[in-house]
Amino acid sequence: MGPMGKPAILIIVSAVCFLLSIGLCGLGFSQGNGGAGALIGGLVGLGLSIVLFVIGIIWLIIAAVVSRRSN
Amino acid sequence: MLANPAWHTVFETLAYTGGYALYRWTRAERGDFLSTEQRWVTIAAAAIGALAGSRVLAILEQAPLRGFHWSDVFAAAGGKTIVGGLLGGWLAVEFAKLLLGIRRRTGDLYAAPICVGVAIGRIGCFLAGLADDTYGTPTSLPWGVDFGDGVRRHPTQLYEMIFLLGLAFLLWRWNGRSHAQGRVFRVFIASYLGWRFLVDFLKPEPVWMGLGVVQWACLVGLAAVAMGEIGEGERSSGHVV
Repeated sequence: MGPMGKPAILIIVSAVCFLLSIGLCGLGFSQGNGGAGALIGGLVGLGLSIVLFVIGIIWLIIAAVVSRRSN
Repeated sequence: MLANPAWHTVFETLAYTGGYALYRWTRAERGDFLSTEQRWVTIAAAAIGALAGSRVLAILEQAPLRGFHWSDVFAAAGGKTIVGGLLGGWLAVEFAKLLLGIRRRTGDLYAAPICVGVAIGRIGCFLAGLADDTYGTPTSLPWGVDFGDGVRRHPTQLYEMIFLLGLAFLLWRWNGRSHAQGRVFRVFIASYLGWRFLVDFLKPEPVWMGLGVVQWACLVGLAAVAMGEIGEGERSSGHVV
């Protein structure tokens, strides 16, 4: 796999985590006090996935630039 | 019916897993003209576009009731729409292909896996009940389902699941035979958007100028498919076996 493969996978994984975390947050909100666990899990997942997503995008851009220069 | 919103998250996870497993298997079985790296990059582009599209359209869908705010895209609460995800993902892949210099059509491998993934996800929508805004309008038909409010409604999630499993079977078989590149994916998009345009008349969604926001998005997507077909007719396209 070339240099852009790994950041692409990181972006995909973080995007899926983002979507699932939104679902968890929605679940937490809909269940009121009983949904605190889901809400906390969702918010933590949301934060982590946004960080990983941004890292993936920056990594992919750097890999694309390096790959284009070496070609 | 004993509905629980937690099922949505469970089946959404299974949907991503099942769709990805079928994609992997199809790619191994049928082969792929893209390198593994190019394929990952196009999937990443699809993920970015799908993420943005699904959120933006979901927020637009509720805009007739509560207004539109860009900040809601990153807010914790709120839904996602499959139509927005498909259109956003499709647009982003075309953009990524332009950057990577890929001129061939790349979507055929995704058609059946997306169908299966969405069909699995719809089970979660059904089991989530009224908490998920995908139920239908009230009906007196014998298969109407009471989601917990005492009203029997169209189980639109199950209608869609049946439609998608049938479509997945047809597209998967077609993808194994000779066809113009990209045609399987475009037929999938057109079929799904056409289906959603029709089935959304059975959903109690907020209406804007006579149609729901998702239905307007379906019309835009169908117009894009039609323009792509017209453009395709004007240039030669490769055939795969």
